[in-house]
Amino acid sequence: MSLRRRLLWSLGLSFVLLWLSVGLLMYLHLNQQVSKTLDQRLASSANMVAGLIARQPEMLVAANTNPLLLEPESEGVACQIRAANGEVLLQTSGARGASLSSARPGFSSRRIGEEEWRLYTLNQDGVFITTADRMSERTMLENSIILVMVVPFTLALLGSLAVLWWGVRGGLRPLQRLHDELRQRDPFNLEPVRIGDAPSELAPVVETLNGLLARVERTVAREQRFASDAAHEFRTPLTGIKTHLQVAQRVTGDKRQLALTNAEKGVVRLQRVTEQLLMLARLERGNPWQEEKGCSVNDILETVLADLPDRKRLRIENRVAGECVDFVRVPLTLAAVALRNLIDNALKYSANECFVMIDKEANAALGNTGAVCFLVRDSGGPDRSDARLPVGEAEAGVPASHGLGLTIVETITTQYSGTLVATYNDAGGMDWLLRLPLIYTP
Amino acid sequence: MHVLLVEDDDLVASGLEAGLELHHCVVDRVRTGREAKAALEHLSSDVVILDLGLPDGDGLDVLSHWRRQGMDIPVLILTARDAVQERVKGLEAGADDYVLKPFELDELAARLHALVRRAAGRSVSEICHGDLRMRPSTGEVFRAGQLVALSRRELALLGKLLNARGAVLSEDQLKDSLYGMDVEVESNALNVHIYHLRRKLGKDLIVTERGLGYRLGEPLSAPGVSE
Repeated sequence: MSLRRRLLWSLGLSFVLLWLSVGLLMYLHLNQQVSKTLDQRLASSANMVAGLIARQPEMLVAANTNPLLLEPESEGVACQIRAANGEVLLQTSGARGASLSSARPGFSSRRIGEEEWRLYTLNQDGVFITTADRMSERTMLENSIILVMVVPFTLALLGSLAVLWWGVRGGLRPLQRLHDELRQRDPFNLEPVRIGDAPSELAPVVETLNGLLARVERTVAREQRFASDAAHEFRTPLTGIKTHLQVAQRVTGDKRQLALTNAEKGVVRLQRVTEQLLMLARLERGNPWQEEKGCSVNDILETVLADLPDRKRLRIENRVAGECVDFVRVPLTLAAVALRNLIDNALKYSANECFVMIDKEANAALGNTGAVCFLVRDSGGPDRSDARLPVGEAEAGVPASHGLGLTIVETITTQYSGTLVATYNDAGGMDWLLRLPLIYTP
Repeated sequence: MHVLLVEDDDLVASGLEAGLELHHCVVDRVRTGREAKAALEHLSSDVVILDLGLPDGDGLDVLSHWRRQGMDIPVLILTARDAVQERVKGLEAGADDYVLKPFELDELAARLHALVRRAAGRSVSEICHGDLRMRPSTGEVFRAGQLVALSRRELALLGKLLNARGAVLSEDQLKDSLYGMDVEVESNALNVHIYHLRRKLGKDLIVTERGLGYRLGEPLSAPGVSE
């Protein structure tokens, strides 16, 4: 059952039940009040007759000759005046008048013929005055009063239900639009959901949904890029190996040796790509380096530079060199891999030397302890001045497209609350700013 | 056959250069899209091997640039991108063939020869000119049914002239086909190869158009093609 239908049913039933309860209470109360009022009318009539007799006692004497005062055939009040001995001194005409005899003082009911009557008997100095009216008349009067009450009551109830239906329908329209939008949506459509002006209650849902869709879209795009990059990084050295081996099969002497040497270079590259991929898989499935403590900036530098083949093209400015106590909140293995990958990338895309600057900064996003920043700057190549670089700035400074090495850096920064930002520099190259949080500062 | 190779990876490029030379191709290699654009403005290549992931952009942009410039040179895309939509995109951008890395060298060479053959308007692999027959894929040349031994340069020169189908080719165009752009060529090197070809295949095979260049001479017997 839809939310709207459920709401309509529950509110509608509650409305009807409440209104009917109120109506029933009103009916009972009104019925009682009408009966009471009609009883009072009987009592008043009896008192009025008693007052007349008290002022004109001769009426009772004259009455013996003509006891008929009134003949209420179909409506009005019947009346009978009796002496203490039961003699009827005066009464309204018809059999009904005679039927009022022997009524006890006070209110009582009696069936006379086929009709129910209501009686009131007053004892006035030994004279009994009985007044009576038909219950059918009383019922008609009650029904008329109730009808006057029921018609506007029913109209109001129906009107309320209509207003309720209109209100619920209008109020839930944004929800209905969201429902329609989601139902008609292709499962592969990751565009933001648009339902027009969303109410304040629904706006966070739509925002969260759109945020989630955007994240899914970024994740899918990232996965696709990663698959494409991984395929490229695997297939390129594999192609080199295969091609050189095919050449080696067809040539001899130095040419054969050269082809085999090149094939071996391809194997080394393939090995490195495989290791990078394995590291990424380990990072994403448990991170076996989690138990390792943090490390110092100097340890990271030493590890990175230990086997860097192109060391002479690298210029390093370490502004925290004297502060060996700075401990980065990242295991040495991972911190060194992250920095090494950035440096390898910079050297690959740099025609001249690359620059690495290490500094500290207070960064609220990385906690109160601040962070150590590794700025890796490549100068770009002569052919990159008008280039669309293989990396770029996506939102929040996250690289848009890159190979396995940079994917590993991203994964490390994500797992250890660091950041990686890429920007273009004036030299036509890229600046990669890796921030790793510190454990403490002295 | 002169091949312009656009490939940024040194390892792959060196393998391709060595492998294609074994298939009687002259290869010029550039690393970036910008170099590729410049190279094709000056070089007379028969076919281009284009990598898509270039350091300065997408190879498809380079291809689109060439097609916009009206260059109809056959282009074979050689890439690691294996998605169907990537292949479709490449072919729609104007590529004539799409080969995935890694590849078989023989197959790649055969595809290159097929591209050049189709570009020259031929439907079979053997080029015939009178009683002269050439098989570009194997580098074999027959004159009156007899196999004639030709050097790599002579083969390239003969192939260029046969594919031109009698059109006049300038000295620069012929030199590009023989040496590529990185080799310093002596002024009479081309004449030497033409002399050798005339000596081996007949003096009327190549006609000198003074001030213009060279063209293929009239066939000694009826021209045609054979399977």
